[in-house]
Amino acid sequence: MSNNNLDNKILMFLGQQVDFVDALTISRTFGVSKKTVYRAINKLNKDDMLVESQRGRGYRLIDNKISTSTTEQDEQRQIDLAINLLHSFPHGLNRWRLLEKLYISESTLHRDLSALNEFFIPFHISIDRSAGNAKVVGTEAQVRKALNYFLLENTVTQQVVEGLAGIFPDITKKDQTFISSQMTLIEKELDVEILDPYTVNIFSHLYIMLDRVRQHNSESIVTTKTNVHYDELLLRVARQVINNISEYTHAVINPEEVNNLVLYLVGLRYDRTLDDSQEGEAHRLVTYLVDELSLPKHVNIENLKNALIGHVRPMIHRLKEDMLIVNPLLNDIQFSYEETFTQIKTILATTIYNVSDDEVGFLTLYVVRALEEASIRKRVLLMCSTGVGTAQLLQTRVRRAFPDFEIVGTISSREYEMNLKQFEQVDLVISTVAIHFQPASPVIQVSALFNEGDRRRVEELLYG
Amino acid sequence: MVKLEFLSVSKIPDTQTLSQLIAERFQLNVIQVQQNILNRENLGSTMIAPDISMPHVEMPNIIKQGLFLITNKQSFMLVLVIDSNQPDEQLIAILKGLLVEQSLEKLRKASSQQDFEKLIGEVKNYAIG
Repeated sequence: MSNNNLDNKILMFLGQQVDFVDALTISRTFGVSKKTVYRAINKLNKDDMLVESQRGRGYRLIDNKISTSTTEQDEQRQIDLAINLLHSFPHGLNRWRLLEKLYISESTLHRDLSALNEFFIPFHISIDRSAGNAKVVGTEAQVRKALNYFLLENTVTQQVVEGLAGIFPDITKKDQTFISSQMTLIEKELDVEILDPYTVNIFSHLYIMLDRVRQHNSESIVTTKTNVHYDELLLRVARQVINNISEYTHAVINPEEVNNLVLYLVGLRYDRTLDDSQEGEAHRLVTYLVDELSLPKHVNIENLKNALIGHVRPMIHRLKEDMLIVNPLLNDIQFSYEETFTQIKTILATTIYNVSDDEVGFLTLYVVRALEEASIRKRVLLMCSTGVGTAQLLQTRVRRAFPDFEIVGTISSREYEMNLKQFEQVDLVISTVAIHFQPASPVIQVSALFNEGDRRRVEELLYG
Repeated sequence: MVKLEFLSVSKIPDTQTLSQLIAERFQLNVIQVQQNILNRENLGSTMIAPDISMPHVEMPNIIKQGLFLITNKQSFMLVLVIDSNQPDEQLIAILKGLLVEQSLEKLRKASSQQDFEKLIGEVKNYAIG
């Protein structure tokens, strides 16, 4: 398919839509990659702005009004600019140099810097545009956080995050190996597994630290939370890693970097509580969220709560430390699970926590998984000695207790034994008689009365 | 042809007495009947309602298959006599109609052979999906 054709087809497709359509949908509709979609849209917009784009929502045909919203390309350029500026902190960059480097016009740079000022607000930093320079104003800690975020965003918008090397294309093999070794050390010392997306966060934190230590760009970070008690183990591990970095770079590292790293360690997803805070708070938030969600029957609430706590505990830490994480799947999650996403977001908005869409996205995945597990219709076979006696009665009673069940039929134990192969797809056999042969599926013996105790046992067996 | 029997008692019979009653009415060997009932009970309770039990007599070569209702007005025994190799199709149809809550309610009201036969006549055609 020639690109020309695709451009027009996408244009027509968008013309049929009422609201925003995201890149994934377009790519699936036409059987092309998302990158091809981006290129096609950029091409369409080359001479005249035909398609508007909004992050998190996708693309839409523009009305006759001239659009002021940014294209995907603009955003990418702005993120690049942000990274450049943040890297140069505290010195700043000469504006002419920027124009040369980025191949843009003065007016574009002006517009970009204004846009960046908006982006920087959540990080409590700003841009000072005076004396021909563009300079980031803020503290080292804030800049470091912002840099971490934009570095990740850069990749998310440009390419799918595949392996950590994809995020840091300039990283030397040596550095990559070194940083990986430190992460392995952390895992071993703390007896945890660093799971996505936290791999990216810690990796990028260490990478940025390496980079800035080498450039002697780091100013002293004043630790504000001196009264927070962190587990001695976490401090020890952080000290170890910082010492290793110091040796690796042959540089003296500000001892306050230890506390910075500890914040990330505390923010890891782990099962054991390594520090002395947040346990009750996380439980309360999870309980509140799950209660407000009013999930349908048969959803395994206990499992869901445990899974959510694994995320919420470090999330609360991150919220308190103003750490933002990037959810590379956010667009997909918002598109595929819009209802659940919105529900969770609305519920959390009533709490004291200011939870980002990225975090809500992760929480959505847990809830969606629990819902999907519960909704798979269970195929159930009812059994008794005759196939028509007590099994018959079970039918109405089981149906009443579990309206979601697909009752495959009633059968006698003898007939079942003779035809095991036929019933391999059955999830559960509910029987009023004991059997003395090896069944093809789990068998649970109940009374024909199918009382509350029987019901609960069936529920436990199927749903855990 | 399904055999229907009804008996009103003052006291619900024990297994031995029950076996004798069944053996008489259905012309079966009393020892075999008793053994059969006990075996089935061992496999799992035959209580189908808090006040209704369903003892099974399930053997090959039963000439007369059917149901035997014994009641003392508070408790009920609905004995099922069925051929394990060749279960009577009519009997199966009856059970399908009988073993539902509404029919069991009516069963509790049966106080004579006539009542019982009438009820069975009604449920015979009641098919369950």
